[in-house]
Amino acid sequence: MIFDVERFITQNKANWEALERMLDRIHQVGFKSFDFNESNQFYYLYHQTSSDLNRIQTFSSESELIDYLEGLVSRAYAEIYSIQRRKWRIRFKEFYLVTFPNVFRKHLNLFYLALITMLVGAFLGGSAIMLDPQAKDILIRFSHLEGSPYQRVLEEEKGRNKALDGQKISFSSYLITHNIQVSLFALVLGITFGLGTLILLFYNGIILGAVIGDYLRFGVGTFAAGWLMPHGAFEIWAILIAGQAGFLIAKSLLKGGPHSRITQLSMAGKEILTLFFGLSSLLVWAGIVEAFFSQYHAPIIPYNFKILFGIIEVLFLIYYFGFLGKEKTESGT
Amino acid sequence: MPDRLDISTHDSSTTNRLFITTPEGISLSLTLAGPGSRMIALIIDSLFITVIVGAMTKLGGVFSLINPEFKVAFILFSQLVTGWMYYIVFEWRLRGQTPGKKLFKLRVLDKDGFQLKLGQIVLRNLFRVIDAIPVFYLLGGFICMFSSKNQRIGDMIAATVVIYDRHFSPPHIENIAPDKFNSFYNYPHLISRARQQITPREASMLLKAILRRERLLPESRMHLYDELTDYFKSIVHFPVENISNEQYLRNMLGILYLRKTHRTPLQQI
Repeated sequence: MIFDVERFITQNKANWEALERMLDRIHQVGFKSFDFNESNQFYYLYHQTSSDLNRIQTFSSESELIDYLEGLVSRAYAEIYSIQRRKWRIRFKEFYLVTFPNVFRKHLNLFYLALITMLVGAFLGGSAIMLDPQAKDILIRFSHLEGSPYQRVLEEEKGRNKALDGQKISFSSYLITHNIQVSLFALVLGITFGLGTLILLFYNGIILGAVIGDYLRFGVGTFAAGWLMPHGAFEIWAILIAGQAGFLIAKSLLKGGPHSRITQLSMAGKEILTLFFGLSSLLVWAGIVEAFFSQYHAPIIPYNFKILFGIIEVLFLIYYFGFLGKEKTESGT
Repeated sequence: MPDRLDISTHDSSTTNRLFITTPEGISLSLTLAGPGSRMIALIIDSLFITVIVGAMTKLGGVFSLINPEFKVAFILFSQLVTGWMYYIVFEWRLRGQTPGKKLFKLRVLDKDGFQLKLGQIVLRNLFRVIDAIPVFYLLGGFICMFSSKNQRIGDMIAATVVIYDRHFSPPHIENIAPDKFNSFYNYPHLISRARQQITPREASMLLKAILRRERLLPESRMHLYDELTDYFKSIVHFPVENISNEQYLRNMLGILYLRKTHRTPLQQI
């Protein structure tokens, strides 16, 4: 039962210190600096130190020494057993052509769920406005949307709205950063088992429906379509993807299976990231369009042109998410 | 004979530990960092971020030479992005440590002990936005406190943990129980019996009690050493007189941990 700690330390200290030096070298320079013999040596030292640790764990509870050896072994363990790609290249092409659309399609039903939620909200918002115009004060609280739509259309058509002159870059930056934050929030709310995401999507739907309903009520639907569609196509799609990702989180938490909830959640992590980066790209485009294009109304840019632009965008989105990158996965494993 | 103490529980029962088993069959334990130390490290990091964002705002002034709008765009994007990029860049380049964490010797680690992947780093930091609600990371801190691995929401999604990363050096036994004059060596048969009967955990407990001598108040120390002496005497009683309990325990340590069975005062240790 007696374990000669002193002798144990004296005999093996040299190995431990050698291992420590090698670990420091790996951290600073990297494994690539090792030649074949040194790599073997490293592996040998790791094994030796592991068995030293095992011995001392069995024969003694010398916690400081054990902590020391555990520290060494765990550092070496991480180096040896990890799949590590130190040279990390950003593969944009693969991401946009294959990864993103495929992850989207994999969770298509969650996208539909987000879409339906928003549509229900929009329907309710629009009906509320149409049936009870007083509701506008409650539903639409944005200062730039107050006032009669009809008035606004008249102003725009006369070219009187110069609010955005010389501010387009700032405005688009503001839009992009703001929308990304809102989408991120919708996404992370997924951990409330999807309730928060649901509410956020629904709320956005109500507002959207109310605004459109308001413009329809005044008979200036065309104006509204021309105003909203060019940037709205991408922006709304992006928010729906954020909702999709939020529901993916909720699904990981809720579904049964052999793993714990937390493990299931972490397994979905990569896909969540993919969706987030993808939707951020959509928002960048939407922000640019909204600041530089959407705000120009007839007669500068005819409404029909803008509506057509919006329709083309939607068709592109359907093609991109519906079909792009599909063949590659079917031929792969 | 009194009941032997059941010291089967790990003595550091207050710290939360992460257990990993390597393919070689070795089990490692790493100390998980609690919400308190993580909070302090976070405060430091937040201060650094504020400074950086402030510097970038000033720097943005440069852009106004080209076009005042670029300045606004630059500031907006840098505010959004710095909050994430600070953590992402540092945790990636410094192997799981930000300056704040480094200061307090904390480190982010994959929960299975592997290397941290970039995706994990990005995920755990994106989810700060929810950990931080309603204010000052209240939600994240709360969850961290009650999580089995001290994980906040971002950690759970990214399958990461934060450990307390101290590098130890091997302790020196010679300083604790100098072998110069240990009267126990007069009783080799009792020494063998003691070494047989006393379990490693009991020996370790004794070592700790002596190592922590300075951290104990005199009264508590005396009480503790009295208890320990009684305990060890009940296992093996060395018939030496006129030595304090503390000295008895130090002698005990000497015979348990140091190899020599005979007293050889003239020999170099």
